[in-house]
Amino acid sequence: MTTAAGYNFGYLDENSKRMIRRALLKAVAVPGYQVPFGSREMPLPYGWGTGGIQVTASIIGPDDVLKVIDQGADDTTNAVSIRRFFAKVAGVATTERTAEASIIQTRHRVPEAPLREGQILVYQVPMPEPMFRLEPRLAETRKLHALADYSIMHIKFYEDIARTGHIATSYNYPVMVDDRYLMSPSPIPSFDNPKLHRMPALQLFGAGREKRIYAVPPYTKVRSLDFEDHPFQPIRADGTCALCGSRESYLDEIVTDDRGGRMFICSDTDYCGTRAAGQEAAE
Amino acid sequence: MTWALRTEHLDKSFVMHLQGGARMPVLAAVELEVRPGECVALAGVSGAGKSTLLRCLYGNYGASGGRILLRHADDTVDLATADARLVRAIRRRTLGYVSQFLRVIPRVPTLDIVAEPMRAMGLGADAARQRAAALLLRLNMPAHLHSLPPATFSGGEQQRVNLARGFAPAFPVLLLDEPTASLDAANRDVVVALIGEAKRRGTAIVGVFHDTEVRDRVADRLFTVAAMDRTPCAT
Amino acid sequence: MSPLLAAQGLGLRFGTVTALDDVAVEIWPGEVVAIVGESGSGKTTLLRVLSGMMPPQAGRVLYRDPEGGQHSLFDMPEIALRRLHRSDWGFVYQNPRDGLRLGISAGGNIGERLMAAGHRNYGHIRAIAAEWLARVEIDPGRIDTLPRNFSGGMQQRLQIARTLVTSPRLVFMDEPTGGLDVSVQARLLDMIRGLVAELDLAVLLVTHDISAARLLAHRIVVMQQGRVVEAGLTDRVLDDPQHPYTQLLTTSVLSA
Repeated sequence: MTTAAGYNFGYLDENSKRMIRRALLKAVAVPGYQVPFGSREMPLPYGWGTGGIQVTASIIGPDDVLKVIDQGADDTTNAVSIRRFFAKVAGVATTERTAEASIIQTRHRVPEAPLREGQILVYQVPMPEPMFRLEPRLAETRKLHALADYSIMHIKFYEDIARTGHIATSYNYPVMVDDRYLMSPSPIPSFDNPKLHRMPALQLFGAGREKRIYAVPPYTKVRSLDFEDHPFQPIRADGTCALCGSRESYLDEIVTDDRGGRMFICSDTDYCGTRAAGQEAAE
Repeated sequence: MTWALRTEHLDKSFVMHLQGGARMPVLAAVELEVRPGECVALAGVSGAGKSTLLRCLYGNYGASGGRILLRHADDTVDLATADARLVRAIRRRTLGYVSQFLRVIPRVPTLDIVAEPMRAMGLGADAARQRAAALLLRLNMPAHLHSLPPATFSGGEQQRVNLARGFAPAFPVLLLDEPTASLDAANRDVVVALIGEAKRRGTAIVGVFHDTEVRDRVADRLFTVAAMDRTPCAT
Repeated sequence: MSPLLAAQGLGLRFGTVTALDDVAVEIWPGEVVAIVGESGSGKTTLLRVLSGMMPPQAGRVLYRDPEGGQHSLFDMPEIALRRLHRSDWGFVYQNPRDGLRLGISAGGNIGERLMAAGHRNYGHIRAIAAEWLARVEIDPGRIDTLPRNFSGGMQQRLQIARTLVTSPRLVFMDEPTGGLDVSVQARLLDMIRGLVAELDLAVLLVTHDISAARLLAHRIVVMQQGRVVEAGLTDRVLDDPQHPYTQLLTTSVLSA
């Protein structure tokens, strides 16, 4: 394992990593609470995962095995770029297998395979403030968090039900963490929300442009907001994966022609590939 | 207790700041005592201050000096120096006032206007409305008027609403300002009867009656309010 | 028994302008107190100070909570004050736009305080909202309408419903009938009067409209240039005004 010459291990200097780790410790100490941090200049622009990369850079060690996914796929341009970046500046081993990774950096999905104690899931977060669309003033949302007054979120859901009969949020669905803070789980599909609840792995969230870090420690209570008489329902396309036949995983819909032809494929490439390989082996 | 209401050296003058601070004395050293069950009619020339005295007794006008003593809730209170909350409490339980004019509250039905003081005393809504209806009927206000707001009533009808409102709660002390001014003979008789019943209940009544015939039928004695020299003097 | 709210020695200056000068006010449960005065009298400033929105430079405001505990309003942590405004207190703004969420339906506006208080049953919240719409004389069928499509009077009534839904003991009202047509004002005042009696509300009402004060208030506080010039029973102050300014005010009122 060698790191590129001229770069500190993990790209960031040690003081920056220390600063970020302090923020991470605070975040873990107060689950769901957004901790401000000194977001550094990274070799890619805001909006491309700089927050997640800074978190990963601060916790990664030479013995870690890194997996990077983007919308569930290991093979998109961004996932590949980030994986190569860490291979270059940290010299770590990388993998596409969820079960083999010690750190998984993700954009907008939670892996289908259940995570274990000792694994860390790093989420890339565009907008850490769950109430941003309803109340854009950060000074105000900070007060609301301090007061634990999340009524505007409930109002939004009330309006959804009044207008359409159901809650209209299907991704970035807000959750209550440890019965105290309202948190944005990042733009993961609401289908993934139940996975956050009492997850054995540590979940870290980094927003580079907004300069916030938050965390959900292992085995923490995470509950999606809802009403008693309109309980939370994870949403998933009613389809079967064309590659592995799964009816449980989250599916991407792919348009195949201009005559309405379409197919569904697992969004999680590792899950799909593992299942398909398992079936082949069985045959 | 030999008296229900008495004044001690009651003074009232008005200072008209918009007329250069001119001071107009109306009442001076009024000593009035009213016993339970007694009806005292205020007498005096027009403008002598009879209505003013009545309004002072209700707390509507502030006394310039002296005391206005009242038996209220097993205690003796001085209305002249009582704070606003106490005056309201006194008006709720002890002291009633039938004014000459009905200040109309838009949209509230007559029955509820009459029932309101009884409700304030603690009477239930149904009981209050029943008593209100009975009294209105006695005053020859037919049932179909009870659900209407009194804004469109004639002067005589509005006065009868006032009367019902004032008599229904059976206050221990009742002040009447020209109670029969706009009434016909039949209704005047009803008012005389109501006053009589109130007296028999032990109500102390102070009234201004322009109608001397009514006055002579109800008053146990006259109390003359002396006219003062009203020439405003500069202070 | 102590007052719900008591202020003593309030003083506040904006630069060289005296907004409040040694002002004392009390309000007791179930009582309506009107603060009247002309523009610049300090009445709106007084309302802001009494409701905790603006700290005075002198004096203090004491609040008595439902358990009887006394608190100095400006020594309370902001979090406690904000909670107070959501539960035990209400504030009706002069312009309903300041007191409503215009982009949220009427039902959502009323339901907000309920949801803030922890209500989590959609059907139940909706039922309470519909009930309150009826109480403020808005057709419950308009529960999903946005307030920006309501008339001014309806917006004001919605604001009142939104404020009263959690049964506050004290409601501050800043010129609640300002900007409304006369007939609409009469209806609104009458509705407020009914609700006050029914709910045993204490109301601190700022108005320049003397006849509104006479209709609604038990006590009246007259302000001029930051000072309280006269205060007392409403009918006494309006029928037998003592202070020159009060006499001026009462004789200036045009009666129809």
